Amino acid sequence: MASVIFPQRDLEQNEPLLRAINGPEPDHLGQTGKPRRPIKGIAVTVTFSCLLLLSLLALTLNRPGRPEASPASESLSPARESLSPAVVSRGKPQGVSEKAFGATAGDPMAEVEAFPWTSDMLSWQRSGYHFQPRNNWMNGPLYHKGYYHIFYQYNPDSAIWGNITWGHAISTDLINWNHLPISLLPDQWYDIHGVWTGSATILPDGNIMMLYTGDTNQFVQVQNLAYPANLSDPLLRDWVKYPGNPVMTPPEGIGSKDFRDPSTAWVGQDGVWRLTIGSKINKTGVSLVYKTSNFTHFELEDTLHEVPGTGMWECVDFYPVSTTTKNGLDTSAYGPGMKHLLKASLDDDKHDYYALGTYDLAGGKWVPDNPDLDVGIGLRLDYGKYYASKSFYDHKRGRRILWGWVGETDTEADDLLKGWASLLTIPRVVTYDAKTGTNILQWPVKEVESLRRHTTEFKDVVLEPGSIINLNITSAAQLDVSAVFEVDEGALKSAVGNDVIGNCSPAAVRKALGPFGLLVLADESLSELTPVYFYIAKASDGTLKKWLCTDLSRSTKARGVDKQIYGGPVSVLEGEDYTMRLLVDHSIVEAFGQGGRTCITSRVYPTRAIDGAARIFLFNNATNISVTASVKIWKLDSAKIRPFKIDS
Amino acid sequence: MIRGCYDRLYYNIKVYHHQQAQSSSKELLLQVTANMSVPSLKTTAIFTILTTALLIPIECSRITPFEDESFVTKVCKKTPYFDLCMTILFPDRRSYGADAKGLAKIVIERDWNVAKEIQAQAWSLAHDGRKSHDVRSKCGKCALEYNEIVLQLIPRAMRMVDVGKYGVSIEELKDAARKAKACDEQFKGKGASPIINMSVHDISLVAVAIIKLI
Repeated sequence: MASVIFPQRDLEQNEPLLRAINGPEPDHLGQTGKPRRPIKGIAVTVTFSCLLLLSLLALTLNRPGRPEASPASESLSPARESLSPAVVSRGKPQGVSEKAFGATAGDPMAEVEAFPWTSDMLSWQRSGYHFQPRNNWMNGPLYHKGYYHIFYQYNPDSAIWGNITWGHAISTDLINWNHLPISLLPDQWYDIHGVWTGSATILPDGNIMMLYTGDTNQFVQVQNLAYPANLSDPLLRDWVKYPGNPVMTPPEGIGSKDFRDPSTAWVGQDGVWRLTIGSKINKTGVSLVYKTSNFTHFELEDTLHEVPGTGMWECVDFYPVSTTTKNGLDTSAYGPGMKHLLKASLDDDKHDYYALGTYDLAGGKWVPDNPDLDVGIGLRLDYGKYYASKSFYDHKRGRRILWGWVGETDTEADDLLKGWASLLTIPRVVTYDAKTGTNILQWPVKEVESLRRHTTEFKDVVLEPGSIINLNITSAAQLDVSAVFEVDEGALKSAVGNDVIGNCSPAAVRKALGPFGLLVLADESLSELTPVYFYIAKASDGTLKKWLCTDLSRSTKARGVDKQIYGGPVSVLEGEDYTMRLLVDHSIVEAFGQGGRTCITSRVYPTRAIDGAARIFLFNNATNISVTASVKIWKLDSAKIRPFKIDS
Repeated sequence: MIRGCYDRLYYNIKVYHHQQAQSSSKELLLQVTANMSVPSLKTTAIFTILTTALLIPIECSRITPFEDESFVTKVCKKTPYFDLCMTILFPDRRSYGADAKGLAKIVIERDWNVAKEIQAQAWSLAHDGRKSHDVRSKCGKCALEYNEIVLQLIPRAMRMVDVGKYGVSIEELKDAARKAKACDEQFKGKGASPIINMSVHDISLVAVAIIKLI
């Protein structure tokens, strides 16, 4: 798909971009620079190499980056030491999230020599039951005529971001998926540089209004309308772009690159539909509200809410949660017995934040229950590698379902080598946590249990301080684990602590009251292991703070992979045991603490704890307490994720 | 008032044929008058008096749609392109009962839709390998001009009308008219323009004239 270039008018300073598309690739990363003149002495060589390396570094760090236009046909054969094609840190030329590691931010490729992945290791990383095409972000999930539909950001040409189209897949059970042809291509001036995130609004008469962000021929972000060509087709294969696109353009005071990701619309009693689009004004993240009666003519109304210092809000999601029942609510539901959840993906730190609050339909404003935990400064949906999440109302089963996008935490070069990147979490049901009243619960959809085979159960295993127990499960790469840890309340109270309570402590560091939990994707000799654990910190003044953590520091022998410690605070109420659910699927681990109060998704890339060598262990690294654990482990079958066949 | 009715009759015919074939309204008018063969002056006089006598009461009853439609006509007469103005406003239900501001918004909305159509056409022609280099280059230039018209000038003009900054709105629309004209001019004298329906210039100036009446 050729990009559109108007060289005579470079309004957006795309000059380096044009050069990159038109000209030859000037640098190859991962190789040391070669001197340009004949060598006269070692000093000269060294100086020149350093200068060249520095300038290469400067070039790569300052370049606005470019989408990978060439197909990934160069060097997909595994086990290559050199990195080819050259992959430049993509930067934000078009206002799009960049892939960046937390602790190892910067340009990993310039500093780290590639790890010699073997094809065995790389192919093992593919998930067994998580939805995963070549490359994806999030889009407009919906349920229609018996099928769940997911539209995802897809690059058909490469395993890194670019040429964004809308991939499409359907399922009857949210677990087994059939791929359908691409539903939206970037083929109009208003979306030629990308058919980006959108949301579906299902009208009472059954019509589906899909609003999506298009990146225009001049890299301006606009909102466009598309709808199914044939509503009676349950597969929703063909889509029509409204001839009068774009229907919304960046308004006054909003940057042309700060206007994207329209949400699902909700309707008031007056028949007026409203939706929200995240943006920013200086460093204040805002959610703009537009109103419409026909989805073709929109009027900017006001902002729903704003939080200073949070930066650009992407993928804003806004919906009600029932405070009285466990059922989901339609996006337009309004009245007593509910709170409204406002969620934003923060571009600045690549995390998803949310807050519960109250929506005043008449006044058009939403207020958080707790301004100290406002959107972007408080709770996160997931404390690991998780972004651009989006929910929809499953009107068939009355559930609010949440999808999260999980990118890779290895290098882009690795992604090109293995030929794919990123996946989606198992869909989660969102409900209000009535026991705490301050957060939601996320829990994997029940349909994932249909993959369960072969149960192994351990009851009341006493874990003395410092113990590790091998649960003797072989090929522990596709697992559903449910664990309960009983901790003696008295021991908690009497223990003397002097812990830092602000975040997770590493798994290997022994503290009075923890960590304790499970080791997944570990090999027998524990040369590689991924602990998922509870960390109970006790400050010197007696305050207890509980954390759910995942420690990746020893997860793999490989280099160039993110090895940070993820963690989120978790409420454990009086009388509750510590409970944990894990979904392990090769290179992805989803952890749910206390029934989904705190969630952590991680990417793990072991080199040894793969295939038959993967194991799971229980451990207790506390010094002062014993923990009694009961664990149920199911091996999970792989899901059927494949192209749709007419006869099936 | 009689004139109002006569306007309506005249306009009914005009609009109907405007929709059918834009050039034949004159011919039709000729036909209508031609069919009125004059057997005698006396008959014509009686006819005229009777018609007038009937029309006065109708007009005097002040039926609202007549009144509003007459307002639309009045407004359009104050614009440089009466026919175009009527074509946009007359068939639009929202015109009835709308004030000048409401009418301005309807026209600006049409302006935007037309501009978007042109933008799409220009862009796709600019990339059509079957077209000559000359056409593609000119359409490419048009696509650039219309980018600004579609993404900035007209949406801004609409919002300025919403918030009462009419002066700014007029400037934006005049700018849009200028840019649209610049695109049109490229194709002058070289046969028909490959882009159909090039009237953003005209519609923008109609909107300007209506805003001045607010």
